[in-house]
Amino acid sequence: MALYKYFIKRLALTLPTLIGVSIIVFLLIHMIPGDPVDIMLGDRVTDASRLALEERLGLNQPLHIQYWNWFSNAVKGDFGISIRSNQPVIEEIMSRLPATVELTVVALFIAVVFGIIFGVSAARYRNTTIDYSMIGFSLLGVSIPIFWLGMMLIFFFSVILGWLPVSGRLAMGIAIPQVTGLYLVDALFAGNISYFWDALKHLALPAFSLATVSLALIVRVTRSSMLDVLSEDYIRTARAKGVRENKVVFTHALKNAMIPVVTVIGLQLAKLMGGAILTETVFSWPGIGRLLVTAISVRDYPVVQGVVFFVAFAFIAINIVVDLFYAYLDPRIRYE
Amino acid sequence: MERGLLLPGSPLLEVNNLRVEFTTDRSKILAVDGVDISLERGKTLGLVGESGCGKSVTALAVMGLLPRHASISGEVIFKDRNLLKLRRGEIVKIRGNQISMIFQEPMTSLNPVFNIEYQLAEVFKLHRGKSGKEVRSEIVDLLRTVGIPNPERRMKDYPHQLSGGMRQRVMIAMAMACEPDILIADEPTTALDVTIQAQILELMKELQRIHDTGLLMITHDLGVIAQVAENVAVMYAGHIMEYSGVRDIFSDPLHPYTRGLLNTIPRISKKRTRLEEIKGTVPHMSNVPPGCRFHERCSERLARCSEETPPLSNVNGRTVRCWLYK
Repeated sequence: MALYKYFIKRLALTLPTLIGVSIIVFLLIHMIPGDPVDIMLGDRVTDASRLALEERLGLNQPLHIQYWNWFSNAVKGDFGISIRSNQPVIEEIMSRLPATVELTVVALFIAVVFGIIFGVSAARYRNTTIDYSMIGFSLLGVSIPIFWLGMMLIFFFSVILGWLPVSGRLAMGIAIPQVTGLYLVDALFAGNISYFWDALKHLALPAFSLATVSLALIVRVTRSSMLDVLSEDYIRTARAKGVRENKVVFTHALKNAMIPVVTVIGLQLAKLMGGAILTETVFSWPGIGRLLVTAISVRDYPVVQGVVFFVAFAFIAINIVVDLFYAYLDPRIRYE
Repeated sequence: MERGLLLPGSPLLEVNNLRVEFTTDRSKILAVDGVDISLERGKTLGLVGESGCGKSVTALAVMGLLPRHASISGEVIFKDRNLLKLRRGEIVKIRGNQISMIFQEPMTSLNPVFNIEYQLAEVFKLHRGKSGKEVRSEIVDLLRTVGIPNPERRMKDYPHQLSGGMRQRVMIAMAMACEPDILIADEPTTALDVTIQAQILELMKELQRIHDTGLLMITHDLGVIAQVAENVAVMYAGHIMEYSGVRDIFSDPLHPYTRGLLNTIPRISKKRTRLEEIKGTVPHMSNVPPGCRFHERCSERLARCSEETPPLSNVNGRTVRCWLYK
């Protein structure tokens, strides 16, 4: 129906974006100053191995052919072979992806649930102590450098109190049978509560520090959006109908106030998916962000290209979902 | 003020000495100052005045819909209960059920993200405990009653798919869903085309007749009053200036302010004359003039008008607040 047509239209519009992104990512390797092969291999190599790498990367072919080869492979999920590990890039990404997804989903869940509750409460109890403490909290949240917060959390909860592990995804010596790669889910599949608990404890600090910025942003956007909506005529209508204040706030107002909030949530999700580089580094979390950092530092360009393309793709996909969500929230978009 | 001065009968709603004051950071604004009105079953009371005179605030006070920083005193008696003393949980059972309200802006008074069916069904759910399929046929009937064609299909529409007149019909349907004792209409036709205005007023009168509803019609438009009201209260700067039957108001207005309002109505018989106006503007309510609130703009003012506030007094069975009749 209307929503379905909207989806098709929206999907068609992403094609040019995807092609643009792919060109930029492809050219990444040609933007390296000097000869990429020199930089990747260093200067103490034989001509034979230089030629072999050029051959492997297809650098001896015309540019448009190189692009076409790269793009047609990339669409199939083939980003070439990692120079460092000699593994296919896609496998490298896929082996790191669950860690990032798990961290992102849990962090975003914390940010969304508490962000909306705090933001709505601040708007509902405007100019009271509740409101002021929410504003103060969110100001703190956007201002604290995330790596510093991560280190302080480790210092306090792991070093001083000893409640939570310092880093990693699981305690040494534990192995959860892999199904999804998401340890929380896999532990539940295995029916092992103590593994689940261990994975959760490892997740707590990174997820919390990753959530902080997004949480603070969501609080601010929700608050201001709710304040706008609560002064609308239709809110007065709802009250005049005899709707109780809680329902006025959480149904009549919140659904209207959600549109800007969904935008922020979408952007945050995309940002977190792109590898929470600082958080993953501070907590030695084996995700996409760390893969990218490592690949850059050892000049493993196929991996860099693969990760960047993958992240851009995730960004586009999330944007489509956000747009669909708008249409669900606001019928005026659906019937345009 | 003596209650006996007001119109006799056993009123459905009685507002006694209502005062509403808004306290802001800088000033205190006295929006309503000692208003007394009463409303009978099946009858219409028109509340007339310029913008900012306290008409809407009076209505919102009756509904319990004023913001928290408003301080309210006096009494609003409905079915032997003072609505101003009710707890929040009790007043929500009355709102939209026994007393309902329609607003001025049909374009923004419906929630844009819920369809018409949802918004109407909510009233039945809240006050009748019914939901789902049970209410669907009632909603269809209700929409048909207020003159919405093809209601089975239209109830799936969202507000932006309806015209202003249609939206106001939906608002009326929503307000009348529980067959309330009292309907408060705050400028219900001001935002509509003239032809639609007449239809909407006709519809409200019709529903009032069927359900024997007491109607409180708030407007600045004396044409609307002439069409629907039996009694009229003229408000100025938070005070009631004159209170009488609709015929008396039009044939023999007592208060200079009422006369001024009537003179501002353009007449077809009087050709090519400049439209009359009341000189000056409504005083700001943080700084009301001493004496009669209207004296600065009054063409018949006496010496005492600027010093003493006239009381509401009885003049040949009518009620007026003016020193001319003392």
